[in-house]
Amino acid sequence: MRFISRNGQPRLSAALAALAGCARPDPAPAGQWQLSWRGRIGTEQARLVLQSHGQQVTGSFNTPRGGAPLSGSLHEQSLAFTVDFPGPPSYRILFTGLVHGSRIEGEAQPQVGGGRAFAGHGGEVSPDYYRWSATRITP
Amino acid sequence: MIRSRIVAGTAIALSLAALAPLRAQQAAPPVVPDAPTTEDDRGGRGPHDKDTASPIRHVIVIIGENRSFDHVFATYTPRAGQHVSNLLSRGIVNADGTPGRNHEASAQRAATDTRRYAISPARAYAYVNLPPPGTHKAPTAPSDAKPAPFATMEAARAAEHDLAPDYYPFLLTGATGLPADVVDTRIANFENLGRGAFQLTPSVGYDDYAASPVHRFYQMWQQIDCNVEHASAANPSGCRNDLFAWVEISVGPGSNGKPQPLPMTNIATGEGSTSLEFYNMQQGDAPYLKQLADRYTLSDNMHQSVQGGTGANHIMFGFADAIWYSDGHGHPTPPPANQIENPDPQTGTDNWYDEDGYSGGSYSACADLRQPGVPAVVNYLASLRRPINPRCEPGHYYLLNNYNPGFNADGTPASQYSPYTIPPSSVRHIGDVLLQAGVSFSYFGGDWNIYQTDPAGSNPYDAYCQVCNPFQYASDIMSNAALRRAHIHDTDVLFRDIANDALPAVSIIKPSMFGDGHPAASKLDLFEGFLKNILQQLQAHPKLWGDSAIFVTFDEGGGYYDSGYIQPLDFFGDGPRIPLLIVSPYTAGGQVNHDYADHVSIIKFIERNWHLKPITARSRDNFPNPNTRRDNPYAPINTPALSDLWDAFHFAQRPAAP
Repeated sequence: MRFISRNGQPRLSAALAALAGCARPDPAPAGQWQLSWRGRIGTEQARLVLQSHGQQVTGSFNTPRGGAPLSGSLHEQSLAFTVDFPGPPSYRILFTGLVHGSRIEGEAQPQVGGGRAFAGHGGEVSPDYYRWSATRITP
Repeated sequence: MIRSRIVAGTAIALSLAALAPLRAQQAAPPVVPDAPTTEDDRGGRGPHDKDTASPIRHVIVIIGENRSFDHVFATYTPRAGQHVSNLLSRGIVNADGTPGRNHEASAQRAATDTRRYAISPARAYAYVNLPPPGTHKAPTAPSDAKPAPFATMEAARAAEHDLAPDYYPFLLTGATGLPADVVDTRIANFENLGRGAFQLTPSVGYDDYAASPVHRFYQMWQQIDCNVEHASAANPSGCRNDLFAWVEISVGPGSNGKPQPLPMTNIATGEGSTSLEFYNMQQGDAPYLKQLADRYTLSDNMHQSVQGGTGANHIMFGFADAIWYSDGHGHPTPPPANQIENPDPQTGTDNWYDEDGYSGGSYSACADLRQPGVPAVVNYLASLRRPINPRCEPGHYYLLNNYNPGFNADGTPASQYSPYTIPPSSVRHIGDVLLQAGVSFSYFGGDWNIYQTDPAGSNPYDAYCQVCNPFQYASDIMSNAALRRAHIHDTDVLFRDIANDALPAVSIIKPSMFGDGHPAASKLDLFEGFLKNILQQLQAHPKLWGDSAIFVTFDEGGGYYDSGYIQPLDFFGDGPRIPLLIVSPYTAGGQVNHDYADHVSIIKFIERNWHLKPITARSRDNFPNPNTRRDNPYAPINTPALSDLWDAFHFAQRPAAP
């Protein structure tokens, strides 16, 4: 279990958890992650590169069609970051999730534009958000 | 009893097959394209574009979403001397939308189906009042973080760019103010709607969003309730259109293989009796569609070509046939087991389908009477006075509901993103016919440009309808980069072609999902805005306008009730009536055309105009034009028959100004 974040400061939540005797997995998200992301039509893959600075998280979100910067925060196991995709038109997606060791699971919600893209055809209905998950590739 | 019926049906079906053998579905031959590769080569310069049988040099097909004929034209009154068959003329409603002397003709009943799927299940009871309509997934409030209506014009204009200027404010209005999947309490007298069709407006405004009724294959066969025991001279197919509400509340959009929700109330599917809603043109609804009907030609006998939804109807338009699961190289093969439809009710339920839904279903091997759901349709077709061949090839699992086409925009396999993807199709389509004849064509799909960078649909601005483009299913088009570039475009190219008088001979135009008129996701006034934008730009170019035939129609009725006659053509359809406006200098005069038609009729018009042969030996464009009795122009006596709509035009007359 790692108590020191990339900027050298103790991770308060991890330290408290350890002090409390909890066997909580390390939530530090820094590293590379393979992300699977559900969209209106299907599921696509992306490579997530995360750096953490205390509670601040930065990095990049890389798809086969290009990369985009991300920024967010980590509180306890709760990770939240936004990605600004260049478009056109440009759009922002908010990813939220829980870090469980080498896996993250959560929801992705558009912040501008059509958002929940209600497909509407034949009865299929897209939800307000899309689920995503990520598996750690490298620390 | 059920077993004996199936066995008898098998015998009838087998004898039909022996009497009327069909050639196997032809694969598309290798296409040697002109291979235009530059923008200058693209589009409207086929060597035989002007080799036409009429003054029409441009056919333009504009396809909206999910409105039945009576839903839109319920109270339309044509000019003197013309007759239209609608709710008003049939006495089902009065001009003010109240129940008419013959309102009982639209009365809905509840049925019961607990053991095996039936298309005309036993009567349970008649409704005194319809189950209250629901909100389903209609949007609750304006938001820039959810679909339209948007909170700001900035977001609206970023999402949708193809409307006439004065229609953009409608992208910000019309949210329900109600949660999803509850009773739509905006509707006047929602608990006392009576037994049949009811007016949605004005308690719900014409500009308001509302729920979308179920519109899937096996559901729609039940909704129209066809039974030879109810056949008559006026209604030879015996379809009664009286199970719309019951199907909505008993199964709705399908189970996806999941258990029935408990408690199974009238609002459990979120829909209630949404399907019985209609607009009232006499009170100002659908004003632009009315204006076009008054000025040009309206069909009151146009039909969706397949029961159910968007994908299968666009496929039938492009192929004049259904397509099927394959190995991707033209050989039929069974799909994964969970993708085979099973509309038989789950044990202990009343009509809750065992396997149906976007993530379950949507193929049926309809030549095999052992397959669930198949005997009900095939036995009915065989029982008709003029038995109808289901036109199902052995071993072929036909696609019945929406699945992704086999290709992404760049020609790579779409299956990498979703298992609910039909493999690439080698079935011949209208594009092959036009290519080989040297007649130019393009499919213009709203948001195609965004979709090219967004194959999984994760861009919230991407409202491209990937199931709507028939060419996106076809291997010969999608595996050839030059053909993709030549024949598939976004609407920006459409408007540029109009401006440059450079439209191809055949243009197929599909709005984005924000402007296509689909209930819940869009509104009919937004489709009017899309349509008006195109027509105004065409009218500004007199040469182009002067030799164009514009077919304005819908993909299907959206599951909305319609009172019109339905002609069974094969296992797949036809379904209920949909609007068709034929706008041309040669169709002016506010006439109503009664010739029996479906989407394939437009294909037949194209083929007749450019001297083309049918797509394959078995495609529906081989059907003859209808012959009818003098006293009933709606029901062909030489069934199966489809009009080529040629008689809707008056080519001998002086072309009318816009």
